[in-house]
Parts: sequence; structure tokens; C-alpha cells
Amino acid sequence: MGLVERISGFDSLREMEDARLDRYWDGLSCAIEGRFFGGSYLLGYAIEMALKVAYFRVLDVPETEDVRNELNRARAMARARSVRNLHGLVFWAETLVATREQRGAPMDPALAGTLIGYASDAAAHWTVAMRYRRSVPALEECHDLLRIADWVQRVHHQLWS
Amino acid sequence: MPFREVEASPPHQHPDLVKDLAKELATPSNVAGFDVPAIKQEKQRYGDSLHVTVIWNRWNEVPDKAERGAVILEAYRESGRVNDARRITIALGLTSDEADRLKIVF
Repeated sequence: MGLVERISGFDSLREMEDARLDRYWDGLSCAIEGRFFGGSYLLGYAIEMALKVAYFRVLDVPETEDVRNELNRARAMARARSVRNLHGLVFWAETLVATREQRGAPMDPALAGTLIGYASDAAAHWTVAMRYRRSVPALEECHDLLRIADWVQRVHHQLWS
Repeated sequence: MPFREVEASPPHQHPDLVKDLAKELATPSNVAGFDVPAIKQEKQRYGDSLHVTVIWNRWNEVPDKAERGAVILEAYRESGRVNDARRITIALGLTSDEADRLKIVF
């Protein structure tokens, strides 16, 4: 059986929660082995998924349900703000902060500011389109992303609870 | 069971920045540039909350962004704006370069 058949056929909160941790460890392994561009790519994904997972948790999406409908809603919000794809780190950070506020459970204000600031820093080093680009030296950028991914790991519960 | 009262560790290590920002909040200097804090306090259309962005190049002294928001909140309280401090739901500290990247216009 091929790997594609062995993985889940749809995106659920539980899959994404596990995947964000897997991508984090994959990225960390690359960074340790000196594959800084690849490490940056994976760590960026880990950050992006952590934001999406927190957002879905704020929305009380059931653990094993397909999140496609929620993603489509987010896509509509992104379009309204002229955001071109659903991989924008700043978009997700701002959407998460705004959604919590709209739901009457705002984030700690210092945490909200930190999140937006770090999302912007990470976005300077990561885009989903990197996968089509050849690697360039990225030691410092990879370390920056690792620091931010570590921070996100540390505060992840606070982002949604 | 023994009872022990201890003081929580401070959320930042920058009392000097708190002092300078509080001073600016109390008496805005209207100096151009970001060597002095530029404070943007945005009242949200719905609800009563405030989003505060402080663009200030002295944030370069605070690479740990988690400390910047704490500095802003403390400066609000220290300047006497206690009620405003309670309404803040985003406290964002950015250098001018970081503000450019986020396309924040003052």
C-alpha cells in the first residue's frame, strides 16, 4: 500500500495537531544536520499549523471532523482582506487574535502582540512557495524560525484557551 | 501544609523603557521619527477594546517580543491610564523596520 493511502484522506484537527508536532521535529532534525533551508521550510509549516490548530480550537471544531468548511470560511475572510493564500502567517495570527476577541475571550494583550510580531518575523523567512526554490544559505533564518517555533510550542495552549 | 508567599518574576527587565514610554503617554512630545515612541491607540468599532501599537526603535533593546507588550501595559498603568490599560486587547511593540514589514502606517 502506498504512503498516500496510509495517511488520512482529509484534514482534521487531530491530524493537524499531530502533523504540527511532526513537522516541528522534522524541521529540528534538518536544522541539527545543517539542512537549514529545508529546516526553515518545515519549521515554517509547524508555525503555520500551530496557528491553524489554535484557530480551529477556538471555533470548537470537533477533533476528527473534516475542517474543509472552516478552511473555506477562512479563505473567504482572506479574500476579503486581499490575502492571496491560506498560508499567510500574519493572516492566521491576526485572525486568531480577532476571533478570540469577537467571541468574548480575548487573548492576553501582551501575548496577542507577541504573536503578531513573531508571525511577521517568521513570514519574513517563510513562504509556502519556497518548495519550488533551490536552497540558499539560511543559517540565521533557520535559527530565527526555530526560536519562534519553540515559542509557539511553549505558549500553544494559551493561544486558544 | 506550609504557606509560602513569593513574588512572581517580573514579565520584563526594562523599567527604563517603561519610564520613558509612560512619560510619552503622559506628555506626548510630538517629535518626528521613531527614536521616541509613536503610540497608535486604535479604538475598535465594536465593543470597547483598544489595540495599541508602539513604534519605537528602542525595541531593538528588547529582542524577546514577549517582553514588549508587558512594557506597554505597565507604561499605561504608570502614566495613570489605568482604565485604558484594562481595555487593551493587543499590545504590540515594533521597531520602525518591523512596522514597515507589517505595513503599519502611523
